[in-house]
Amino acid sequence: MAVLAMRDALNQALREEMKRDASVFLLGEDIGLYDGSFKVTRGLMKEFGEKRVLDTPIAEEIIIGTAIGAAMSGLRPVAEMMTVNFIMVAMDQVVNAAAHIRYMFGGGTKVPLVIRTPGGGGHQLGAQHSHSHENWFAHVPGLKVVAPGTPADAKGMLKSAIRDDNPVMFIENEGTYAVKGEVPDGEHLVPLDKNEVKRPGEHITICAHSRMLIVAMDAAAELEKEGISAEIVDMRALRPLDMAPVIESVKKTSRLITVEEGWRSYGVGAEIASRVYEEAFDYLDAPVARIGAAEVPAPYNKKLEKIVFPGKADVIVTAKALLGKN
Amino acid sequence: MANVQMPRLSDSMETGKILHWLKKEGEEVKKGEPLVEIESDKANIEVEAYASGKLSKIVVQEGESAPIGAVIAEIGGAAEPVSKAEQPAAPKGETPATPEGQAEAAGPKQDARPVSADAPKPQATKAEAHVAQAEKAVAATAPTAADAGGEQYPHGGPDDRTEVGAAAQAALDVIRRPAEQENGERQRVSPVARRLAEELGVDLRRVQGSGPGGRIQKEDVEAAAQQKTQPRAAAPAAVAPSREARQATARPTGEVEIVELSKLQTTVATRLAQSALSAPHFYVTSEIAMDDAVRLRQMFNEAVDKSEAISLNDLVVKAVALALTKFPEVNASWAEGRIERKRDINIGIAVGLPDRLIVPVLRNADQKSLKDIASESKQLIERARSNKASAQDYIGNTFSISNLGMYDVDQFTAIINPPDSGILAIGAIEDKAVVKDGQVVAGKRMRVTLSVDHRVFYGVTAAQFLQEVKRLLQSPMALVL
Repeated sequence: MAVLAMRDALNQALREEMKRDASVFLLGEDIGLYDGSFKVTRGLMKEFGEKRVLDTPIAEEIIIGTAIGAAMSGLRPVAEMMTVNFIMVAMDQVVNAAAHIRYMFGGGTKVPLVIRTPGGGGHQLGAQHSHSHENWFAHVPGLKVVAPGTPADAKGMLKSAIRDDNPVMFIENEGTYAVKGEVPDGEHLVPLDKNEVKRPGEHITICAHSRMLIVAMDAAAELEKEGISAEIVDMRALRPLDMAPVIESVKKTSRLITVEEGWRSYGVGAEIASRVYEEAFDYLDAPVARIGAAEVPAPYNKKLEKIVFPGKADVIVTAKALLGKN
Repeated sequence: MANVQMPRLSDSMETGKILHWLKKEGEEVKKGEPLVEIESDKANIEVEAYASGKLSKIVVQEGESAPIGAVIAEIGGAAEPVSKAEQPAAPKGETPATPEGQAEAAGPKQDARPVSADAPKPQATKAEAHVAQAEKAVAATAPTAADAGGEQYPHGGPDDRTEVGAAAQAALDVIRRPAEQENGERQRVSPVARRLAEELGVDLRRVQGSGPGGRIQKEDVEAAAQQKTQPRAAAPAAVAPSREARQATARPTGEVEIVELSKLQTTVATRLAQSALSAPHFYVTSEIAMDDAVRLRQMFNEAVDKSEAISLNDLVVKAVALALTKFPEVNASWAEGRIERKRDINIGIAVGLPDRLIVPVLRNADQKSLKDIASESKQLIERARSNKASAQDYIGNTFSISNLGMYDVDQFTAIINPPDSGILAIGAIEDKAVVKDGQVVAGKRMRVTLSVDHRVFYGVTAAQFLQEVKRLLQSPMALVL
């Protein structure tokens, strides 16, 4: 197994799928000549040519619209949105078209489309480039939404997403592209609808996805030193939301913290908490605690930005508070 | 009006005894002023008033005990308060406001919660929302305080009740009842604890919560269930005997004199019995050559001021603390089927007094110099002897030492001091004829016995640990470094 950075794992997945299936093509801003803003598509234009790696104008609605049309016509487009914040202008295409077309045509057509896009903050890019909007898409039936937190999952889930016959929002995180991890060589597929316990524990369950998975794992290592054993459930599959490992874990630990990089209100954690109340209320020993970004537009100022996004210390303090150990 | 409740003054405390009321009934009390002296299982502690007003009633008299959370006194506002128990049956159609209702409505809010000040405000629950709604109804339908002609009945005076007000009040009573404990405090129970209590047949009213804000959690119910199945060494009396009854038992009957125990003595008795009966003890004895340690101590004490002199016990404390850094498995506790290894090394030093056995705790002994160990343990023991130690001085031990060497005891075995898993019993240093290199020579020898909780670590570890203590005491320069 090779140790790869997240961006290289994604690159490997794209290359392998493009080699395997000639109907797979990429489109997006700066993905060809410039190798992609975050270098995920590095070398692909050189390798597969300008017909399969399309540099597009800055016109998000047209990128998604074109991709939907291509998907309906039998191709398998992978559209890159430079950041998740920029999809707003293409929201009509994503929600009204991509998510609903298969349903509206009674299954007569399908939309095998992947929209790859990074979210997340911490790079001093200001309020229009720094947010996490997983929950906006996870709200919509007809879309699949995934957000991997490890290079292995990034590769395996991107390959599965490209092969899926439905539109998949594949949400990456700018803060994870350089994170390294072991990635299985060759054919490695991770299902789009299965969440997974990434670290077993006894006293408290922590649900996290994408970059927050890394934060939660760090916090768990720290908590372990203080005798608190945290079980981490990776919420990489957000829609359909696989709650089984969470429910099972809460039944064991009786306490739950959700961690997300987005705002808490109406967020991923809110959905998880609500499902836990529905399915495991009698197993709880404390109210579910939700950790998320401060409810302000992300600041540009570095110090303020650091305060706004959740970190290891927030998880540790919350875990101890839930256990009455502060 | 605010109830003064028996505070929780230590982790192991179950009941507290009122030693002195520092205010008389009818006297004014200010928030923060010392109000009462209470004897817990660990120490005598002055408790401050958590509300201002008149000490309208002392419920628990001096010399009597009460469980944690029980109302021991009432602090009223200007009006004479009515305690719940004494409240006369309301005439038909009248609904006297509950004490809680009064407290909530009467001017500045007084904290009616127990003295354990860390309890956060309970979160709004569905039941509380109902209560709030019902209270709103009462307030809306009952005449105002001004109409009733006094501030005492903010929900409407007893003579001015409307029927709608009474109905709303009745509804409020019904909603409140299931959520309340006998003392009027809302009991917080987590869902899993409630489910488990039902499964295990545990009465939640008898469980003390250890969670945030006193919430009863899963492990509290599990512990209560376990206690139910295991007869306890000494169950705390639910109701303190009256003073007359106590005096009667204190009188000699025939040849026998019955001695009432102080809280502390009761705690010591209970914990020692629990330890001896529940922890499977085994013992390892070794003889240590103390010639170098005695010499080192002399040299050390010649070099420092008399007030900074160290004792042999201090050397043993340091040696044990250093040995524990190498044997984390010894610095551990049996915790209901698991082992808790402690990161801090806190040495309990058993001090026997004519009427008491106490174990003040020297914290982080492994990180302290001999000089610091000596001066700190001197202060600790002095505070303990003069009964001025705080509960804090007695908690957190991870391993203990008991020394009877000064009484010419050669060797003895000690009972493990919970939650430790080991205690080292130190005998006297004897001048002995020992064989060294085939020659009989004079030597100073000290016999020590390690008592071990066999559930936590085993014979080989015990022996190796003791070997390390021995090595350190036999090459004592390591203790000075």
